[in-house]
Amino acid sequence: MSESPEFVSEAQEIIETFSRQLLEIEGQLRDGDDYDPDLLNGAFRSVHTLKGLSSLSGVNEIVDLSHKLENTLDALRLGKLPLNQSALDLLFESVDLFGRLLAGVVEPDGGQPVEVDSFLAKLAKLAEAPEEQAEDALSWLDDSILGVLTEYEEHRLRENVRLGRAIYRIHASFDLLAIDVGIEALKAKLKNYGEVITYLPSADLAADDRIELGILMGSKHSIPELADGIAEEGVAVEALATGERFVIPAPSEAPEPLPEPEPEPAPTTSSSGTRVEAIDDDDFPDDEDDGSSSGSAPDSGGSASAPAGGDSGGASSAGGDGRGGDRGGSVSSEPPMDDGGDQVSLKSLSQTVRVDLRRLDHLMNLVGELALVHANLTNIGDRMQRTQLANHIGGLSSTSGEHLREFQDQLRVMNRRLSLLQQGILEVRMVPLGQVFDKLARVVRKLGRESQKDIRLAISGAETELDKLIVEELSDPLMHMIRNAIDHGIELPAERVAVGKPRAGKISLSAFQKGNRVVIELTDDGRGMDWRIIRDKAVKRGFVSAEESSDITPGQAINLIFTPGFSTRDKATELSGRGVGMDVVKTNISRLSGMIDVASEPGRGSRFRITLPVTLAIIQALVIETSGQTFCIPLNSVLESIMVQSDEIQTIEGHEVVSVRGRTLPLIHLSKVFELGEENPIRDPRSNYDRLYVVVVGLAQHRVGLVVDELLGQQDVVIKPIGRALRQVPGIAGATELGDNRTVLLLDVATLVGEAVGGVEAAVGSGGGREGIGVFSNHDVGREKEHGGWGDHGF
Amino acid sequence: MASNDDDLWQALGAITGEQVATEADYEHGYKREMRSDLLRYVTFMISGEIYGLPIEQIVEISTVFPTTPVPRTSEFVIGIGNMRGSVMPVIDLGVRLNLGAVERKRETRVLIVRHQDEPHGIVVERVLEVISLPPEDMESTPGGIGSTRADFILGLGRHRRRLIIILDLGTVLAERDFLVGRYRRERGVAQ
Repeated sequence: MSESPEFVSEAQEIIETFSRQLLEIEGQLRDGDDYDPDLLNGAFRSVHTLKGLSSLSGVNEIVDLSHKLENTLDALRLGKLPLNQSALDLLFESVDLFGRLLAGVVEPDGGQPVEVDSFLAKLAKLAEAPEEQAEDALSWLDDSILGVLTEYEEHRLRENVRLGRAIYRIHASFDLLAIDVGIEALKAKLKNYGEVITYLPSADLAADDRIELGILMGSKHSIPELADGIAEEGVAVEALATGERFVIPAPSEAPEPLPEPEPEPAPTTSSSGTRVEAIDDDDFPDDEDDGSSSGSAPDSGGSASAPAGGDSGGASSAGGDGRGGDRGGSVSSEPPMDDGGDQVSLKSLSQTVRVDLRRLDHLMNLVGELALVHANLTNIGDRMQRTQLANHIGGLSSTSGEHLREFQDQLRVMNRRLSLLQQGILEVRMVPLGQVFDKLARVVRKLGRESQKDIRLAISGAETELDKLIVEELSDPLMHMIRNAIDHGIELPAERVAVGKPRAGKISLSAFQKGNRVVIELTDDGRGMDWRIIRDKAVKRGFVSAEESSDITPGQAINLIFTPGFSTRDKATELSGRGVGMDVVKTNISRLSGMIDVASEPGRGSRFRITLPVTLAIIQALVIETSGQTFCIPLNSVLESIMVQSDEIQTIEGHEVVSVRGRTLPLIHLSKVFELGEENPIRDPRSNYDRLYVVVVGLAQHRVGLVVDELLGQQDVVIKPIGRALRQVPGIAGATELGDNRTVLLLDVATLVGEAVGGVEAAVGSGGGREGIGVFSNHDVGREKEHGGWGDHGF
Repeated sequence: MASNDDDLWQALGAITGEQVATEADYEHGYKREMRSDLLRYVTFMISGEIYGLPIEQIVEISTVFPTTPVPRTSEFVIGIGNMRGSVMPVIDLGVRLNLGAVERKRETRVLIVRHQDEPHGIVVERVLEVISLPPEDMESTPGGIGSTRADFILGLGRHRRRLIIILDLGTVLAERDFLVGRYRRERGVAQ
């Protein structure tokens, strides 16, 4: 096997598309609509592409599976097999199967071989399913039409009839030079009213520069409605009524002025034994009438028909007119739709490039280094300016001063370009959240079926973009939360009905951008969580003391589910069980510098809200100094920087706090947390300094003040990984460079805040003790005193 | 190309561990590997002892570059440094081997090694030379060496009668040791 990463990612993408198409079909079927046949065609094409791709790469298992699947899909789209729930289930199963096969490709040694045979057997069984088709459903239709339809078109026609739609034929004439545009425009309008089944050839041409087409479509709408919708000059609508072939004359399209009621194009009954051309022939005068009455330079009579083929062949555009030409001459029965579809997909493929994320990282680094070079150049410029100044005083010429100014101007230009470049690279890394949401939709479906619950997933904001890295890291936490919502949140259908809720549970997943952050909300309308139960559990587990629990607010109580160790042990109890592993979710989110919180109402449902930075690669940072060492703090977790007089600091049980606008803010000395030596000995703050800088940082609803020596300003910084070994250092998120080639550490505010309010032991996970509650209690002045501190944890 | 002559020289080379120039070398420059199974080591000095690392683990040898200390890390971790755009942890091998901190002098060098696909800097007193050792000249660690240090040693080699201590990069750069003990449990699990 010669599978490359490109193959895997491309195949994965196809499979995802395939699954999305299936989901959509299922959704349409469930909503009682009949499904959009284009989706099924799309699914067929996806599998077909996958087959081609994997045979190129020599992945035979996938070739085999996709080949069989392709056959089934073909039968489905031709109507040889009914597309029902069981068929869909089977198709969904194949998505999983493909995924596992692909995983096997990535890690040939991992796991046991994927068992495909049983699936293939089911597929074969499906294919044997009896075919019921009333053969004469179309007996009323003229052979001349039936004769030119492809198998697929015929199926669609039958399907439309079966759905009780009336079959129409739209006559339109197009300018040869712009026929592709014209057909597309018309098709787009018609799609709103029904399904375009095929294009029928028309016999002869009105003029050399125009071509006639008949469009066969099925629609539930009446002729006037259709005509209204098309609203295009020179177009005639004709209903092919049931029964014997009887053509109702169409009041063909009335242009704006609506000059006169359409002249009846009555004679259409002709049916002249030959072929479709005949019909068009008959209709033709009708069209002409139209045109002239509305004054739109119509085709000048049915004179020259012969040159049709030649003309259209000569015209540049692809599918439409070529087909028209063919038909004009000989009536061939090409399947037109397929051609068009393939062309479209080819085009879109060529517009994307798959790039390894590491290459982008590399580019990013280079840009970062360029910025450093730029900073150095600026320095040199400044130095030159100083010498220049000195020389000037010494009476030297000022031409070099000109040069210097130019040089500095160019530097400024370079700076702007650099930031554009940086931004451009960042944008390349952005991917829509839809990538994750699609996967989640599949999970919802699967879990819903497994748990016998009826679940609707509403997705909004899938187009919201986030850094690829974040999107990848997000899928697991989100999956976990959705699993919780389904397992524990949404009730069984009967239960829901009993409490007066709709049978189907609703989970909605929405994303939107808010400033430079993205908010993702996961809401369910399930049974929700009772904060009292959670509070009591927390007390029982020793996370909260009894007296603390007495004045805990509901919001704080519910957020206790994020406490490490809270949930897992509660899994089996009658507590709604929500929060299984929520601490892991929280850890993952905060590793992305994100925050998560939850609100819930018993009986009404829960809402989780995740807030994330748009990108991790470049962030705005506040540069600070403490004990002679420089650090960066991600600006998105900084709420404000304040200056505090030392006499405002009070201690509560030895922990320093300060009141800011009526709220008590626990203080952390960075130098102390990091044991940075004692340039500012801070045993007793009041005696040693009068003022200090405090950077107020927040994580979710928790606020902590970081005491630092200096604020050095804000800067865009490129975050660099610090390697596996140092990544484990709690409180450090990464490194970056400042202009002077210094490497500077970036603080992990989430962890620091967690430590501050939870104590080191809690952060390390060796049992938080009662300090745990501190995490949730910053709103409350009284509680700070008991556990606001970081101080008693052995620094 | 192998005439009997060459074989003889190669056999000699195998015994002495030294490379012998051949005519071809005079013509094309002294480049050839005499024995394919000879392992080449970069040797360096720390408090009077000679240590070696397989040459393929070393990316480059640099003069000392500025580093930034990282809080909450063990004593042997000097900090992180930036070497041509890539940020890497830098350790003091002297402290790591319990031989005392490497004194910064003119000869002090940083070995840039690649370990688990990430660059690391290792500060050593002085880089000596690149030597070739035939595998048969390697002995495994003798017992009786202080237990912690023994873990760092992959084997011992002899070169011109001097003992070369070949280090095991895996233990020298063991991730968990980078952190001060009390922080070790936290994130390691989640990764």
